[in-house]
Amino acid sequence: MKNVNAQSLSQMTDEDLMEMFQGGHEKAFDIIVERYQNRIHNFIFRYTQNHMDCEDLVQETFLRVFRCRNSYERIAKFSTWLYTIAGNLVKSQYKKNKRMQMVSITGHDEHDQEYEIDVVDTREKPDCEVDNRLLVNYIEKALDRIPLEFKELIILRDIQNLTYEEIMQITDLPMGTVKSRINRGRVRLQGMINSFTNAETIFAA
Amino acid sequence: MINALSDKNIHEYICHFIDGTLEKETQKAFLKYVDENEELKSFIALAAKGSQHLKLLPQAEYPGDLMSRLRPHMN
Repeated sequence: MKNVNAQSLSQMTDEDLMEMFQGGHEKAFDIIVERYQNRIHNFIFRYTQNHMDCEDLVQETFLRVFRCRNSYERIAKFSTWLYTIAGNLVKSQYKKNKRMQMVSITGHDEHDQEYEIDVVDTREKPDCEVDNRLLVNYIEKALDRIPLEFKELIILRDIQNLTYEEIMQITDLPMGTVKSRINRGRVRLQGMINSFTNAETIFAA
Repeated sequence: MINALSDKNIHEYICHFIDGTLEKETQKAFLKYVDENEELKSFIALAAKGSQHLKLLPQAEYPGDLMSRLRPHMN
């Protein structure tokens, strides 16, 4: 085992750190966690919109990196491997939660129909800060409602700032599909935001 | 390097237009192409706005000490 100190580890690339980690340097794993914990937290939070679930999934993502370290091969960029793990975990959790929501919604309707009521609170006429909070709330709400195949791609591109090539590797989709879904996802999201703001205008009038 | 502009690869152009990474001449050709299609124009406007809005979402830091949560499971 090579003798390396924490400072030299922190200057290494992700791929070098993984190699050190695979060779038995657990300190390299600490650096990886430190480097990626906030990014992965933000990525996952945009799916869960719930801090407790998010923290559990972040923990599970890094535990998988820890346990499956030997399945990582240097031909892949470490960050795309990590996002793939996080994405798979979060998607299976997301689907489970959506199924649970569906059951509870249909369960409360005596005619077994799905329904939804949006209430936009416009009692306080917002100042700038409240306006921004409201807008962020609309964006989060819209993001929560768009189909998973679009949601994943726009999170990776517009929130995580990953390149199209990285997104292509993480999602295992052809480049044309990646770009088309990113645009269509953005349009769906914006369409929903517009409908929320229009509803607010109508109710405020 | 992106392929020649056509209906088939329009999304490639839209992505790069929104990113601001189209070269000047390519952008000119793209805008001319788009100008003839109102539906496409409003699609691009919505996509650009959607992208801007996503960038407004706050980035939160991981709360607490993740390593100390991980350690008990690292055997």
